[in-house]
Amino acid sequence: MTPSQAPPSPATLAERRPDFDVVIIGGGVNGAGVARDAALRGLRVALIERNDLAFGASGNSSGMIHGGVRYLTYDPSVTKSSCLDSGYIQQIAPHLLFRIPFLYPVAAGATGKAMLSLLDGFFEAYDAYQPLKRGKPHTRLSPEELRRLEPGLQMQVVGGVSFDEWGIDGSRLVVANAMDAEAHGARVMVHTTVERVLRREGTGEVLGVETRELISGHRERLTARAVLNATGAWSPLTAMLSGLPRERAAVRGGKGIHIVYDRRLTNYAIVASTIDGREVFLEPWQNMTVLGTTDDDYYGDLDDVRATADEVRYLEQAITRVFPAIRTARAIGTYAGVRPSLHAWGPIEDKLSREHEVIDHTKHGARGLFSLVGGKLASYRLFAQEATDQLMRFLGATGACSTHTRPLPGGDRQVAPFVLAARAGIDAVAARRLVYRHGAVADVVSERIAKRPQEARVVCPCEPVTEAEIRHVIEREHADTVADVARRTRLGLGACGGYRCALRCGQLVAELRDLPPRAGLSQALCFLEQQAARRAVALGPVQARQEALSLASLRAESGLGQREGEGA
Amino acid sequence: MKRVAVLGAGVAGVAAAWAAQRDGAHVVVYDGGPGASRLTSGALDARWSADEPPLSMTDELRVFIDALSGFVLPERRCLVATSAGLLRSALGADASLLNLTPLAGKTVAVALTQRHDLDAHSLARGLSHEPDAQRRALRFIPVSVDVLRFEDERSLPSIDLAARHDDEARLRWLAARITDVRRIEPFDALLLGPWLGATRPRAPWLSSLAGLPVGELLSGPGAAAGRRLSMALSALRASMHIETVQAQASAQEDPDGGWRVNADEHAARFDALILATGGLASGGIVFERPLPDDVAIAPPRFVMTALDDATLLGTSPTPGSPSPAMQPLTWSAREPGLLDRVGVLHQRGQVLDARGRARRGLFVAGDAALGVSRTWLAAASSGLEAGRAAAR
Repeated sequence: MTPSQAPPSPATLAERRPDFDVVIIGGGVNGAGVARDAALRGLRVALIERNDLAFGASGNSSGMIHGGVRYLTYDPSVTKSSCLDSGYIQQIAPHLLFRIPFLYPVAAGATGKAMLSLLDGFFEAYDAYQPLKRGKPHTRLSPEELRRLEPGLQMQVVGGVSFDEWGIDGSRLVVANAMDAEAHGARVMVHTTVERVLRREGTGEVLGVETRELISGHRERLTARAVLNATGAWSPLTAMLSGLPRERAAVRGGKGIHIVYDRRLTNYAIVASTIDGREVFLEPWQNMTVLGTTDDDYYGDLDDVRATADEVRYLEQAITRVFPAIRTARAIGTYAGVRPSLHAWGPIEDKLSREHEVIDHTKHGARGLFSLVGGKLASYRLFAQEATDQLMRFLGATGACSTHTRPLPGGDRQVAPFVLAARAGIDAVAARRLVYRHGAVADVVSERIAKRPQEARVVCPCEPVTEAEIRHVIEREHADTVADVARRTRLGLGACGGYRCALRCGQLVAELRDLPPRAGLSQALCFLEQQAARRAVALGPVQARQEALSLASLRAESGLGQREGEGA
Repeated sequence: MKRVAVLGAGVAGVAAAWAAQRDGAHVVVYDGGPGASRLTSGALDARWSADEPPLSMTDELRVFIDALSGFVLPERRCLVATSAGLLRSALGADASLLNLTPLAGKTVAVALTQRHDLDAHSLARGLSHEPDAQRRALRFIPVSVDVLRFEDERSLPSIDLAARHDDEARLRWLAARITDVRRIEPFDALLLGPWLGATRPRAPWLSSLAGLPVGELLSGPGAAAGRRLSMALSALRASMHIETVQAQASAQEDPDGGWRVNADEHAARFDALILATGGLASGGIVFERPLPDDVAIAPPRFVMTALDDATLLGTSPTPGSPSPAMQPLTWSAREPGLLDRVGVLHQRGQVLDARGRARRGLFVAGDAALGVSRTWLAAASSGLEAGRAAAR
């Protein structure tokens, strides 16, 4: 429909067969998870995301499918469902998971011994759930054993325990779900905002949504039998688009930040406690190290959540007491997200439930509208299953969930990185990283290279990312901007801050999206400036030097800052 | 004869040494290794932002650029193609870069080769779309020109391929290939990757052999243009017989007046000292972050290596004002930020103390100087100013 056409009135809309069975608003892990589940069960699905897939909490988490050990004491059901689902995710996307063994050192002191015994018992209880996710049981460690495992540990300890978790790239998980939904007939729309949820006058029943593409400005009306609000921390705002008061889909947004270091500083994740007694950790994650996290009520702009220097210092202060080498480590960035925790008045942030809930807004007079609130990355699949079950009941459809057994794209078989490296003519590290991100779909990228050998060129040397992969995610994974490519490939998120690859990536985006080359340049600059602002809060001596270097070379290459007209 | 020490052998340091020696001083340059000058792309720019003072293209600056050799400074601004598929202008350029300004209405071939560092199709498309190209009716087409002579050159680092073109026989061979291709597919000029010479620009000679303009794209850091500038700087130093010490050096004010410079156990006394040690990128200025233990009180600060406490260093152009907090320490590619404002406080190259008074015999140039623009030309210009002042 062109924007100039008069939209049909809601009355006429209702006469026709709706375009979709369900419109899902929100391209995070829950929205994409429901889209996949519903599409696999034969529903006609549209998934609409205002920014990019995994833009919010899903792409900015600690990157773990952990068993929810934090919740063991006050919410053991979360622990169990997390462990069970972690096991399923390993089966459907084995390529995306990597083991992260944890060390939990206990400081020497008056209560040290008692604390260690308590911890030992606690993790013994956790061991009961470990088999669900192929986890190893915990071990009680002496101070000597601890130091042998991690020589960087510098505090006076009475001992500690080890336990086992799994790491994951949250953005890849979301993209894999959305792409599988698309492969099963779902329509995926990114950089598209829902302006309004349409409801029938009188009955209040949901009729569909009105959307606007943020890049082109194109408006559209999609009719649907049900609308699902899966917008995480944005949920109250989405409820308002439907004409409901924000309290109907209330969440208590908890901001969590992470600091990223340039390499794997340790082989084990290390737990430390903060000045206010919270537990934080330093984890080796993919080819870098991540330090997290905070949990604070958040009231700011959800589209621009940033770590502050104070939050960075708070985390570094905690980890310094255990692992002093962090002081000289090179922080290359920060990221932040807002958890959509279930709303409660009273408890402090850490004590909020991580349970999830599907709200049927029929009771609020909006039949056909559902909201997903709460949840966590590790239990997204279960949450999606529950939500889809409810949708099926509402729509009177039948079909069983198969998301725990059917592999996600790329998870169906293993690809050997060395074989792929030899075939595509790329180095083994690049091939290994490619296989990590795409699983068996890496073969598709490798076939591109066979057809056009120049696509073997490594555009981002830090990660590394080949040109073929960039073209693949732009053409096949809905990446519309340099930042979208970064989310899907980790391009530009490494030590150099993107200055070696952002311009070329912008050039490729412009070429494939048929934009003028200048648009690619401004996208690249926008990405670089955003990343710089995120690094600035964690700036250290080495990174300050790198910043100045990036800036100098970027200006030298592009001539930025010359006055308009000087080019004429 | 006045004795002048220059710490730093980048553009600013060599310009300062050159100017001081021309004004009759005895100069020693301390070369502590490569710095930001190595990052040059080959373009000569006046300034990065409109709120910097305009650079005056003095006769002295022209003579210095001439003395360096290997650069062109035409009357009309140069227009060069970048490896990101954009056109950008500059006051002048390394002589191996292809200047598109005189090529209005012409067809420029972009070399289609077996190498992965130049995507001719993508570049030709991007460059043809540029407003500056359309205004001048410049057309870019990918043309298969086999510049590679040996199998290993497909994946050879571009700087090594550039070095192979330092060989005259190789250039003759390349010129013959270009002539062959033009018989089949006509074009008016040829754009290649950053491959034309590692010691000095080879494009002018290649162009005269091939009978048409041939030149490089402007590429990012690590490209041959940065290397050629380093070579030109050492060549100029050698031709002027300027004494050079290859070592990291530190300097202290001598109680008997003047400055004492220590490098590798050798100490020497000088009447004047010029700091051309570079900024953050070159390590001339170091950023210190507060330790997490005492985070609540310590603001981050910038310190300058090789300087004592008496000299005011800071991020603020006003003497005595406090350091900014960490939060706004971000840069913008378009506007100068606080990272650009770091350096030694000075007035026309003469270092000032905390009260704004001139410090005897101490001068600063290039990125080490506070609040000056950081283009190559601006660094050279500030070097000339400091060199002259030090020799006085």
